[in-house]
Amino acid sequence: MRSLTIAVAKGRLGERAAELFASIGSDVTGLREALAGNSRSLVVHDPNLHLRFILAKAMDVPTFVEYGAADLGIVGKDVLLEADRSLAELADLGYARCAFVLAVPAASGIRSVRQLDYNCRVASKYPNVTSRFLDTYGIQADVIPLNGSVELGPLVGLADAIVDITETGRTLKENGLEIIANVAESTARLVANRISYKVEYERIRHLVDALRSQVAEEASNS
Amino acid sequence: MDLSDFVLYTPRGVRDLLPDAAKQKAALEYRLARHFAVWGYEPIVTPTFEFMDVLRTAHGAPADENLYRFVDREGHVLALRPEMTVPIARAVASRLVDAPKPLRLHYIGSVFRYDEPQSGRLREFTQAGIELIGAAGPHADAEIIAVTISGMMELGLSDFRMDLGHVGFAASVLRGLGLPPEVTADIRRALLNQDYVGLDELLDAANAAEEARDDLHTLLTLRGDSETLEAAKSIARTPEGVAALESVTEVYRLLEAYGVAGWVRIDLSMVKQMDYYTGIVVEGYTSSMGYTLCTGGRYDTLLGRFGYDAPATGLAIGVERLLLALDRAGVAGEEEPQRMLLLANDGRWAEACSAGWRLRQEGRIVEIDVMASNRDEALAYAVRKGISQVAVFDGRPGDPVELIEGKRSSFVQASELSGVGGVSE
Repeated sequence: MRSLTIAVAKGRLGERAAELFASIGSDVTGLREALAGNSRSLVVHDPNLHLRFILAKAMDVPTFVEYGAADLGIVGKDVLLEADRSLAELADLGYARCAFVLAVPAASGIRSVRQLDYNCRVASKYPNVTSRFLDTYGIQADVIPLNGSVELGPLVGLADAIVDITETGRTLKENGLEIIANVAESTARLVANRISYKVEYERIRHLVDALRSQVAEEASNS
Repeated sequence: MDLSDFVLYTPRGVRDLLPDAAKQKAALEYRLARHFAVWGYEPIVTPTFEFMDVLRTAHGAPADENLYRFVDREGHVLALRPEMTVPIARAVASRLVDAPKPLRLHYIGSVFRYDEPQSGRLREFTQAGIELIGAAGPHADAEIIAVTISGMMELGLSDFRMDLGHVGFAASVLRGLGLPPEVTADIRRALLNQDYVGLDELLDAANAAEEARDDLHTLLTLRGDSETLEAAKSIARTPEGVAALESVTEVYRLLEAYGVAGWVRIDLSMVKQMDYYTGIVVEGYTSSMGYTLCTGGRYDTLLGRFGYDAPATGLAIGVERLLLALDRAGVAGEEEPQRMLLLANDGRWAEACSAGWRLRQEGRIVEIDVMASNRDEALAYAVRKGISQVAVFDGRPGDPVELIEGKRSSFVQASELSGVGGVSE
């Protein structure tokens, strides 16, 4: 039987994915080792369910899946929103919950999106999500793409506001930033290549059902 | 940037085809055209650009955004065609109203879409397709599917599959939700984008009734072999849904008669971007590629928008995608005849020319040296170009000709060159 290839984001998202697959009978020994950095391998096999996991950067997971290099992928909705690729989004895995928020320096006195200057500067790791959100308010912001430490932007005068993901809002608060709007919610998602979903429909469907009921069970236990 | 910096570049999303690739594409187009022709589909050519109003009549305003638009000197808004079905519908409604029906037409041409170039998407690409106009009913639908599947088999693409669905079936289930039109439109878009998580969120937000919700979830599972058609009956609750299911079932039965049902899968959850489809819809693909190879369906109201009411059904194949699929499947194109290079001194030029005529008539590819090369230069050129034979007309008229193939060399009369033509290793 042909192995289904699953692109998994490195880091916590991937570790949680390994637990989830283990709970539905997948042999994730190799995946765990690869995620822990104990092996250099980026491709690991699960002989039980005939799966092949590939480890990728979160931002690259949608790319692997859209091109069909991976049949399935596990990645946050935040990344999917930013990448805006043509995929089938099959299931909400419920974990890695976080929110996209728009935040400004608490001292600015701004308390709503509409109070932002119409051509303000907004820093973000997610420029596409940021632009789309601000467009809906008719704000022609200067979106400044950053690759990390976005909270720095307003502190050093690079930006008037930021759009970033946050779980608790603590880092933002520590940097004197205040959330003024929720842009979107995010959790881990199972995505599929559109053609793989046709060709391997039965197997993928089976996998989705198993993962879904596992997620539902865990949700009811917690 | 200085203007001269652009001189060697092309805009994003377009591509040069160098001779090897251009040859393969031309050969594939020739084979497709021949295949369509033997089923009675005659060629039609329409202009590369149309009045914007023509395209808007057919697609509605939302389609504007991915069009290449421009204004001519009289101030008319024009657009490059984004696909071929609408221009052909326009041409048929204006020029072929009195032609005997049904009309069987085929086309091969460039289309243009201002999309973000990514996985399998170019801004200029070639579509080859067929339109069967004037025939309602399942026989016409089955024919265009059979033409396409048999074409793919003839090309050697054995893992080709075609999904068969019906826009009326999904529409009936959506209507059953009993939600406001704008919410239904959002749900339809979620189906189109296969955003099944978003779909559930929309259903939650709209407080959709339990039974209708279950129907929609069942719809998502109606994919697979012909047994799917039986399973679908449980959610065919409106006359429209029942009729859609009957029509898919009938088309499938006819495809069994054609002997091509083995390549067909049912997918009743299929929803299409183009809003002109009114009946069965199809999508063809292979497992080696992450995107569809061909797409089509029935569009019974499109010609009516141009003032000529006629049912129609058709299908378009992405030629660049098909080339890639054939390449990945390791399917060789038709073999090219062996090549030969003739090298002649001034005194024997006429002999070489006449040998060239004869060889080309026999179907060989023959080049004559025009660089005043010496023997070594000619051999080196032949090696680089993959020319298998070099004939050297040296000495005096009537002398034997040296025929070189790889490391072997022999002397033959010029008139015998045709005899050795086509000899392969």
